[in-house]
Amino acid sequence: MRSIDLAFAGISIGAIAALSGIGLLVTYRTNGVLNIAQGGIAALVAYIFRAMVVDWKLPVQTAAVLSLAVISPLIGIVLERFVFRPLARRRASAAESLVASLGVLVLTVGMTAGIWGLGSRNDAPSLFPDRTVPLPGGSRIGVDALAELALVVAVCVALGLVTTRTRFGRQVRAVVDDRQLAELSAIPADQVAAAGWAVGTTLAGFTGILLAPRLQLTPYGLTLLVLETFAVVVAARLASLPGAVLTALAIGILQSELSQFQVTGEFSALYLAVQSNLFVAALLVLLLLVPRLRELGGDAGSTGRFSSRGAPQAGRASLTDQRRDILGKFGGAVLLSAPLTFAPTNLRDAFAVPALALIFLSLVIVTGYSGQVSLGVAGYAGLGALLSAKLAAGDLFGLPPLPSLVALLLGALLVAPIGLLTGYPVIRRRGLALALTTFAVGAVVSRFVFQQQTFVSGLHVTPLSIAGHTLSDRWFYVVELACLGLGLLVVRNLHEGRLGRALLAVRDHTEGAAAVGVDVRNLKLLSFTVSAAVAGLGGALLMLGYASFDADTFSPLNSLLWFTAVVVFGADSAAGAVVAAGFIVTIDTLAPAGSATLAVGILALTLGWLPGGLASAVRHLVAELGNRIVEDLTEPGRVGPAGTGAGAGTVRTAAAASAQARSTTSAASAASRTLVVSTPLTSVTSVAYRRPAGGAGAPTLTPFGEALLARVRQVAHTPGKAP
Amino acid sequence: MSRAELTGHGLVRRYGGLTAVDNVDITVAPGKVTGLIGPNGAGKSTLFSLLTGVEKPDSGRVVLGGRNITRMRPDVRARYGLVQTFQVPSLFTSMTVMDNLLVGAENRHRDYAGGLLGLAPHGSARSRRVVTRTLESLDLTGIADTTTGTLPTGALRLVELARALCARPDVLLLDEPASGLDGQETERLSGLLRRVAGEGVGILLVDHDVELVFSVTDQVYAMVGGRIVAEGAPAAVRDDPTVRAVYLAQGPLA
Amino acid sequence: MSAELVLTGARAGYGTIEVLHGLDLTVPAGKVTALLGVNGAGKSSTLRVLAGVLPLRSGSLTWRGRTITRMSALDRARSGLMLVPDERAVFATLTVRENLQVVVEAIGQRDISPALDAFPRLHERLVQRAGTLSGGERRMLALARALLARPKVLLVDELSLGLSPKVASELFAWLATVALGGTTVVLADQYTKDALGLADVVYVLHRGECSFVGDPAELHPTTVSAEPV
Repeated sequence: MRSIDLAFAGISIGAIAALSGIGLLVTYRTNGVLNIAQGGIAALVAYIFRAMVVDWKLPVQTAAVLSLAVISPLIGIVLERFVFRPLARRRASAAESLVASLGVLVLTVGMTAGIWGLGSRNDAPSLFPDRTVPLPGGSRIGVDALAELALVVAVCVALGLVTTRTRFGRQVRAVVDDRQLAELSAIPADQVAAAGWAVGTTLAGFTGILLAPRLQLTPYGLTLLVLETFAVVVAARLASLPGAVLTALAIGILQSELSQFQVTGEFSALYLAVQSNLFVAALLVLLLLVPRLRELGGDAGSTGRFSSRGAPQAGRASLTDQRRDILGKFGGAVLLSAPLTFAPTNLRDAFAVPALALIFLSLVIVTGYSGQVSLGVAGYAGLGALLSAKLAAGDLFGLPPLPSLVALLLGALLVAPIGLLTGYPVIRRRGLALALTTFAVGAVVSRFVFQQQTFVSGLHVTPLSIAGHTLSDRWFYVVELACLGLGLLVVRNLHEGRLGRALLAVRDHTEGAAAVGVDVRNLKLLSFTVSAAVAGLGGALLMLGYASFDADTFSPLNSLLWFTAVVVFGADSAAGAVVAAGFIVTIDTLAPAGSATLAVGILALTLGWLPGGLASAVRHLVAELGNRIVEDLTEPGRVGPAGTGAGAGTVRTAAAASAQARSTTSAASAASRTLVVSTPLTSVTSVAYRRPAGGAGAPTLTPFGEALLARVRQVAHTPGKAP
Repeated sequence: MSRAELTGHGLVRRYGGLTAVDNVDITVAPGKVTGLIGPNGAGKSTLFSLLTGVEKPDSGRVVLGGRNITRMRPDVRARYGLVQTFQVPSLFTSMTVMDNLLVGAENRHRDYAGGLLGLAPHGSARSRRVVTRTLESLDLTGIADTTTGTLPTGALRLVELARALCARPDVLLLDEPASGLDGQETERLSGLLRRVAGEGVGILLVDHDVELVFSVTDQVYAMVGGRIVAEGAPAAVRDDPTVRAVYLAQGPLA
Repeated sequence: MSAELVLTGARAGYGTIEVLHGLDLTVPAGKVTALLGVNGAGKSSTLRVLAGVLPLRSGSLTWRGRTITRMSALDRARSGLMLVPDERAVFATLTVRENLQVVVEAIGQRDISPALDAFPRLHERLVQRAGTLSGGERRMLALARALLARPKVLLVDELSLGLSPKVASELFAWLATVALGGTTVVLADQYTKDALGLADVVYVLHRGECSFVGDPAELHPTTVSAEPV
């Protein structure tokens, strides 16, 4: 094929990427939300369109109008109204918007997979006829390429005309310029925002429908492909529409042109990989090499805290605290060991729980404890799996085959330096740049390692054995539990004492931590490194549990799902991570494929109402219930001594403000203490606590009520059943 | 004990065509409270960032106790004794007052590998003593176990200052420490600053509250358009014609 | 004299910082109320609370007897309670004409000529992007835009900030004519002669609390110190 023909072939894919990019930009500019869910929405619309044409036998035109002019914009309007407008109303952080759009992504992927299954289909109808037309000069160009190019031009012209020539367009530009000032000028910014979403999701629908016939249609595959077109908007710095369009066409054409060269020798595989994955390669290279992109999109997620539970307080654990702690750990251990009594098939299903829990723990370390968004964890998990398999098979660096248990641990440890290496550039980024860079790292690892024959062909997964004896299923599960215990130990050490305080300080306020001399850079690197190794261990166990290395297990999309799950279950809760793993595996075992994804997506969208994730919501609920009961158990008629009254009053006020159980108790103790201490400064600083204390006629607790409240407070500290 | 002196020599910082800080020399002497005033956009914040290390100068040097720290990151500077507070209090809101202060006191312990393996002690008795003493001297003992996320502004400012003191600074850089405080709290703050300076710490105070600056400082720099237009004793700067014209003229300080 | 706006026990702030500590404020209808004070006294925050941009943490706000504590900024602007903020008060990427059009269209009108009559200088700048205007012209444009929305109450933040005394005086004079037309005006400013000369009622704010309220004539120079009375 000649270059010119290849260029025409490339235009097609470039134009589709451009449409996706335009959609992302319109949503971002009108709403300030980078719609990570674009891929999921594209896949959903593509499946709906396919179902209309193939299953319901509707004419292509009718189906196209229904899915593109009705369903797609409707999705956008619903999302704006019910997910993103409430977030904008309460001025949620960019990190929360990011999690919400991840939730939408997970939800849409879950819906697609839940309705149509995970299997691949190759009967997606194409919107345009599969013909070519001659061009002057003897070349031919596909009708689809022409139509797609025309579509891009039409969309650009329409957007340009609407924004510059119409009344609505002026409002849009006013909102894009300064949303708050627009509202102050009586401009209905919400309508503009909804329109922005509608345009964005419509273009996502186009992207999905146009891409679907070009590949083996799977929910994950199509979603991922659309996510990779983020390179286009990153190159345009989330601002320039022409920039996005030109980048898309350039990458599309370049990708096509590269296919005419044959590279032989040891780089041939790499060349092929680059050629076929040019978009994701461009995404990573742009993010790493263009310094201006480091601060892309403001502050989403860098100091983004997904839960606000503090460090275990140093040296003040009471006896009851310790007892409760031991009891919780014991209960968790019992639950986790329960599968040992299961029938063999059920036990195998449970293999994934400790493995997944380890991967989630790695996210607790990097996101929950040090406050960094990480959307590439599947990459580290997969590398751990790959390295340990190769070590066990004697396929790495010419090393002899290692005992499988040694290979398992060494493989995980070898991921640590990779975490360090990738962490170094990553920690200097913040906000969306950080989120996208970690995603790109995971995607590149997946495309360039897990999907390359060079690395994975003929990979033999050696079952775990000790002293030559292959472990039985039961013993394998015991080894998994031991590994999980190791992971929990590491997590505990990262959360306690000096190290724990310093890490939390970095998470809570990075600049503040640096200002008093906390070594921010090395602490972030430490958490990335340790997190990578823990993820590697989890990945290796996951592979051993399945007895094979499957690139799909470590798909970049799973990184997004796993991250969302961890945030939903409380990003800084180790117990939450274990519960999340149990939840996902249980649902996936008992319910049809995609159900767990669906459930996590739904839970993620409720994050707007449960800011600390499920774990802290449970804590809140228990504390709130306890306080309700206390209300009923107090004697309203009797006025008690000031001390008791202060305690009870403070507890209730704090609960009304839905303060956390832990801070409730400490606030109460502070209140009673400040009544004694009366130096001038403290009396000023404790004003907040004196108010409830002064309430004359504050009801006192009955002895039973007091005992009950104490019990409830204890329970409120232990949300999950696991350690 | 002798503490280090902080100096900026010929500091320049440009943003595009705008020179925000234009060849500024500044000294924060040990045991003295130094003030920095100027109207909005005069370059105070930029100069402050150059001293703390949040930004790097295009030219010029920042020297702390004879050591050139121009290229150092803020946290390295802090471990050498240059500690700052922020306009918006930068507390670790999920942690108690006690733990906040411990982070400051432990900043030179960086045995991360030991911590990871669970080998390092959970906190040294010495750090704990520093924290306890600071809490006592600032009358914060009563709220030591309170989570900082629940404290009112006045207390936040004090806790942030206490945390900075626990990091054992030679020089304290305070960015509008009085904003959000009421009159009484401001008075207390100024007393506290005098006391800290009395212990030999050098303090640089940037604040809009001209009254506070002139009443508590030993030395004042007035900045306009990126340059220092006046420096000297507070009374002298207050009467400087340039300062009166461009800055105080708006106020009723006649 | 009837009250236009009544703010009671207002507490508000940003993040962990509380900047208004229980402020009470009554704005008389059809008069000019001036909020004076040094930087950080809470003047701008008070205006932002009145406009609905900064939510109240406690306290309440009524407008002509109706409680509007929870009304959104958009609804307040639509009902004629308009804030001209001190900075970034124009849509920088829109032309001067578009800046004016966008607001008249929002209230269902088309005519931008009242604004141009009020500020003839904007006439020459109609096709220029607002971001390229001088500081004084920007303030004019911001005021003109607010005027076009036919506000019942006009909240103006730091009118004189960054302007030459001559331009500032012009704008204050214009504001006086607006007030004469029956519009209630609340302005926040430093202690300038212009602001004092214009005001019917003066509030002096200090650290988020009111330290003086009354007739500007009662405001002796010594009272307006940085210390509370």
